[in-house]
Amino acid sequence: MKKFLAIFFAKMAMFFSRTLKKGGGTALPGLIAQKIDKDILSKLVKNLKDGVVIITGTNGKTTTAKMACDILANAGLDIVSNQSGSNLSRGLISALIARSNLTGSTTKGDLAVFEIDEATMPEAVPMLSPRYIIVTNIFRDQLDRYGEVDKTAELIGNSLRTAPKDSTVILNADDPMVASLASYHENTAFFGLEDSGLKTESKLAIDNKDCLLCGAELDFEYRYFGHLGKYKCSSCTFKRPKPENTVYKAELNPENSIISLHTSKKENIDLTLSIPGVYNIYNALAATSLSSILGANSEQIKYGLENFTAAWGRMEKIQVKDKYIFLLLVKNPTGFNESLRSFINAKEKKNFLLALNDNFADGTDISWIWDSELELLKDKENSIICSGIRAEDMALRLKYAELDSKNIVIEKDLKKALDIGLSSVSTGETLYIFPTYTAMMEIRNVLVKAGYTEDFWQPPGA
Amino acid sequence: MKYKIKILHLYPDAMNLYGDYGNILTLKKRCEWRGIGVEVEEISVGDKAHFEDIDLIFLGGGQDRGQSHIASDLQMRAPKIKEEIEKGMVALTVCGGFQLFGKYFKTATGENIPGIGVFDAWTEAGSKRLIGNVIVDCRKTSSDWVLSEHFNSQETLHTTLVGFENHSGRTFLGQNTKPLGQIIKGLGNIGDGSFEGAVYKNAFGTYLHGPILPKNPWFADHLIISALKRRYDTYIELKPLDDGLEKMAHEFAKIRAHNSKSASI
Repeated sequence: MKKFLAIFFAKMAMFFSRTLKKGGGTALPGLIAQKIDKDILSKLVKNLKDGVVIITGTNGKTTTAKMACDILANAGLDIVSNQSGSNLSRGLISALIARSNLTGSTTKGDLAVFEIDEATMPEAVPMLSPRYIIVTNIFRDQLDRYGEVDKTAELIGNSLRTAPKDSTVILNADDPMVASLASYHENTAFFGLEDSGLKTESKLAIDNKDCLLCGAELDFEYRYFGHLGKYKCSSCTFKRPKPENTVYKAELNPENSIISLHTSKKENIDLTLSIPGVYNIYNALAATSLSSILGANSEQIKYGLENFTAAWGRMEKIQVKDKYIFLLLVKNPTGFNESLRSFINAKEKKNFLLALNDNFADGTDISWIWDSELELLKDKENSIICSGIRAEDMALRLKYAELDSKNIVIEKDLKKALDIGLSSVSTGETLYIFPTYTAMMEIRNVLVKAGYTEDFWQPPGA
Repeated sequence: MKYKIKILHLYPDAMNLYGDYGNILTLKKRCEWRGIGVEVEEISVGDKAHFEDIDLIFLGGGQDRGQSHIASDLQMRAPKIKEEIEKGMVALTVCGGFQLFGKYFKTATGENIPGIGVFDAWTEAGSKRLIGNVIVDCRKTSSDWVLSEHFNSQETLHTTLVGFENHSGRTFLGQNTKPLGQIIKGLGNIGDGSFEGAVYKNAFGTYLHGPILPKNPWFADHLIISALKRRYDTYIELKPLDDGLEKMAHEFAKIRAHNSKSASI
């Protein structure tokens, strides 16, 4: 009875928020259902025949989830996911309820792919009994919410202990923090990058230099970014595990990457990944590792990754009259640095809008912008508009990066900042926007209201 | 004559949480913009250091793991560091660094990590993290600082610190160490909203990130003046800089602190 009431009221809420066009609305129905029946989630996932996939980690959850869903949909699986961006457990419940009958006895779909925040893992894993868990990476992110990076690793590790024995944990071999999580579970698979040509010398935003097993320093032969690379412990036997899934060759371009994949099924796949950046190669690798275990063939993987479009706001090109906007979500120094790096290698100077909010969902501590390499923008900028709640802080960061103050404008109002930004780019050119999470939502709303992009709300799981 | 100062960044590899690089960058730029030479040296565990030739040392915050990793190395350098602090060497220590400059840190598991006792202070792990924006009033405490005449007559920007705290340690001060200031908004050393940080001679300890120096340029300049005094044994007036942007960010941080809630989680 509880289950029925939970589903009934949640479906009502879903109907109303969609009819009234209140936007978002992916969390409310789930909240209602959970209030009525706190076990609703574990009841509904039992209906799915191929079970549940959990994707967690600091960066790349949403992109990896969407890539995996695209590939597996090509392979003919019917997938439920919470990819509308609401990645707390209420979003998951909403997604499942949208696909369940009123009694909750059946839920349409073969497989559920859920992205789970690191902090939610301890409750999510026992509740969902996942068959597969992917851990993308562990970086410094919103520390005011989760405590410190080590604690995040421990939190995920302990949650892996509660996963079913026969489940598979898919780990990033290049991230020592993630790789060391193998000690928490029996059944693991690894993915990693094996092209040393992509290494970096940058020393900013290295979040982990010590072995999590013994505390001694790690020796890095090379790093791709942050603390991702080829490493071994200077004291104990811990070293980068040999991954079954690799990218063994990669060529980085401003708008895409040409990569050669090797899967655990021993297939080699050459393809053009439709979005740029080394971090997206990792996302593609994680998605491929999962898809290949679940039976996707090389054609389906290739098609999924070559035709991939990023989840809303994370990396998105939007046409505004005769100009373009490129939105790139920033959450932490590493993500910010890698995004900057992918867009500044072109010769011509660009126009930027940096939108820094400090609401709860952005992380209320903005110290991380000082660990970001804003120096990369030097001499690459035509104009930079600093906007959002902490616009002054961003402008101050740019001042100490010694960027030319003539090119920097502070406009705290995001709508006005967007207007100024667009007026500064010429016809056919692009305004590059780096917003934090709530700033991205705000910008997205302005664009939707002006009719430049479709409403991001879609029925969960659609 | 061209002046210069030497800065030593202690353990940047292990203690680099929360934008500490911004503090070094701020000191460096504010010297360079005035034609003052700056040398920044970094040391890790086991590296040689010559504290007698250093004007300012910086130790940032780290995770517990980072902290225990460097604690014994720091211990070996303690006599030298304390000797130089008695002679006027400037020190800025933030969060975990601040804790290690106290007498000891008692962790949640009951383990005692010894500090080097620059400050008459000790830290005990608390059950909840203290998190949020902070405003600190330094009027009372800064009146004793060397060179206080340089600041006291001036606007409140020169007596107020803004920043962000995020710590689970509770730091108690003994008789011989003063707090850095009084909390106007935020939770502070022991979480009761009374005092923030610690001062002993030219050594400063604080829980403020942000990082602390960019948005509190008067404090950055106070450190630079003190470092110059250490090297040249005389008060050297700093050329004024255009701090318009620093003031804007400082003032907005105050507004944000007043409008937001601190959390204990």
